[in-house]
Amino acid sequence: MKVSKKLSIYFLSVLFLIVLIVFILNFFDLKNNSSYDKSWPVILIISVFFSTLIVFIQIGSLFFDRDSSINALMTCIGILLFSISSEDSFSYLEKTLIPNSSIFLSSKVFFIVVQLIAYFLIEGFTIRLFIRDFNFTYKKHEVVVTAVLYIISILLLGAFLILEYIKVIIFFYSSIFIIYLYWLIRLLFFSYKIEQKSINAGLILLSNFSIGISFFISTINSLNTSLLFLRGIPSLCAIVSNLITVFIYIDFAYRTTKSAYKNEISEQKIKELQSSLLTMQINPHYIFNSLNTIKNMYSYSQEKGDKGLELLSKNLRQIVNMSENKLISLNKELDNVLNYVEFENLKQNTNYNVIFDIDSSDFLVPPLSIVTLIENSLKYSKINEIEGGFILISTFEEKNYMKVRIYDNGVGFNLMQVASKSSGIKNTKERFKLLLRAKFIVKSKAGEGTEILIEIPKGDNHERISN
Amino acid sequence: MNALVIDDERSSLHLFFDKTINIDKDINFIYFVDDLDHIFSFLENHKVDLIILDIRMKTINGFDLAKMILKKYKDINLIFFTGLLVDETDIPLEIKEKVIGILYKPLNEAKLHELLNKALNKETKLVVRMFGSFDCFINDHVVNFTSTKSKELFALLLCLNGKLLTMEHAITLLWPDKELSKAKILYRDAVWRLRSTLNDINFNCVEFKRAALMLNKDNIECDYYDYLANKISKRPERFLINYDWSIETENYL
Repeated sequence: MKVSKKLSIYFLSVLFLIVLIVFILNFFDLKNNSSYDKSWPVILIISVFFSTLIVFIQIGSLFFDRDSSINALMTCIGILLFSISSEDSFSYLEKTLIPNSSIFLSSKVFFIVVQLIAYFLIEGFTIRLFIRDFNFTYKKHEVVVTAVLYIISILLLGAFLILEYIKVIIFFYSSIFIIYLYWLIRLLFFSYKIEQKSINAGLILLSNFSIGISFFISTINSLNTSLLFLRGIPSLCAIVSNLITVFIYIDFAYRTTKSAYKNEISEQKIKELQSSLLTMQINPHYIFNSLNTIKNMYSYSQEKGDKGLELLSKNLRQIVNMSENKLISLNKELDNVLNYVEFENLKQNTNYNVIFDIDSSDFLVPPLSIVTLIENSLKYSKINEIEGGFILISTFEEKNYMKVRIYDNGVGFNLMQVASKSSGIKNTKERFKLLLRAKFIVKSKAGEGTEILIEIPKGDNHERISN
Repeated sequence: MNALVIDDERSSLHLFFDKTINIDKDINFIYFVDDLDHIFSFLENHKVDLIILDIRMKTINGFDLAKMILKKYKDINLIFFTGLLVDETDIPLEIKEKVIGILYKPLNEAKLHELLNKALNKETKLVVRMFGSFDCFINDHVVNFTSTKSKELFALLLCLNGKLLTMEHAITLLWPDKELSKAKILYRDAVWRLRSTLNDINFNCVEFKRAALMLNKDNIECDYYDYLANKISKRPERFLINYDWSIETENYL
């Protein structure tokens, strides 16, 4: 975890504690208490100091982590809180020290502008967060709705802040009501897009929504003093919102650090697996046997010999290619399978029946993964000794998964005896797991054939085709 | 057109010579080992349109040599002939525009013909014979289909003369005795193999829709289409003798 993030978490937590105290004092309306009058300015000054500090730390941390939407979002929330707490401080000083000073009027305007800008940025970064980090995809009409909601909220907030400043009551309630309605619509609109895994997306919405309620209720509060029971609600909303924000930030920082560490380990492991597969594939036995086959082919005809040479060179090229790419398109991998089977047929004078039942192919797989599984199947299934023996490779798409199924009606094997020894299957299984978080299920029984089912969760992989 | 072939291994040059000796194209091949003085001396006195060169050579890297040549002679196209695996990103930006393609060792004649056609700005045509036994040829080489059924599927598609071929229609003709679910699997197998074959020869003339196929007849020279357009007056042989379902068309003709 970067130093700036650690520091900012500590100060963020202290700031919220200070703000919490301020709002609780407000809630219990201790302004009338004389002892409170003495402590109030101290508390306000401390809250302004800490909130200023946190803003600078957050802005500084953006230089280390420019791409983090959540970091940018936290910075803007920090600026918003700074401006609110500073505005509160100046209002208090205005009332108690120099009531008619023009300095305080212009600083109020300044803080209103800062709040508007911070809010503008919060909205923008929230949308960016949803798209980039939580993988929301927007259809055209949803983009329009989001943009309209965004513009309306900026205009309404601006109107609200200006009206509050110039104290125009007539249109006040209607604009506040519209802001509240906006928050509700926004919450409902985004809520239906949240999938259960994006718990943080839901919490961010809730956090923003509670800020909205806080604005709404605090305004009613300041206008209508008979509604005493509502006085505490803005404080409560602000507290809840702040606590949620801190939680999200800590959780995000923890998860990104953990994820970065995990990625490093995974990269190393993937390289080891690729290297081990390379050694398995390019072994002297395979090379010399293949060359021997080709020599034999040339004794039949130039054409047959050339064909054998071409197939061997394609095989070797795909093995070398494996070390260059972690993932390749399924179509390319299936071409590799076809190549491999053709060469095996040539070498062993067989006619293996391999059926490609390909319904979906728009996704990536590790190179030489399916080839390795077919290699195993050809070695152990004895399909060429069975009448009607075949290997069926099927691919299909389900709601959240792309699936690959390799089935042969061969002799089958005892899973306990073979699977643990088969380094090819182990290697392939590990690569699918590390690179694609795929589930890998092997079913086999002696005399009943073998089935391998690979379930690849949809995600970035589904859209990105490298070859 | 003058084409230079440059490789540090003489055996590679000999093989190239053997494979190009009977090429019926308007290209004059001149062979060089990686001797820069001789190469540049030739370039100064002759117009060269194409250079086919190895990448990893003893005295110089093929990419560097290409950069040096193109600095002085900007209108030369390039084909790299190599045993290495070359990605697009490996090709230097300065020469990328002039690279027609990569030819991998061992030499594949069909691919060589394809790239030479590109160098001559000739469009690659698929020549189809449907009278007699069905066969396809590209760059004077027979197209090898990876299964008999994928070949038959392509024949059926050609027979429809650009009309849509639905899965149901294909299954009815090609797998009439199979149970529907099995027939669908075999159809998908034939479709995938056909797609793979066409990708291999770099001639993508079929639009693969969901449960249907559509042929694009551009750059296809077919005796059947010529007969329908009255370009051939007399039919040479029986139509698609390998396939029973062609009898209807045969009777019509």
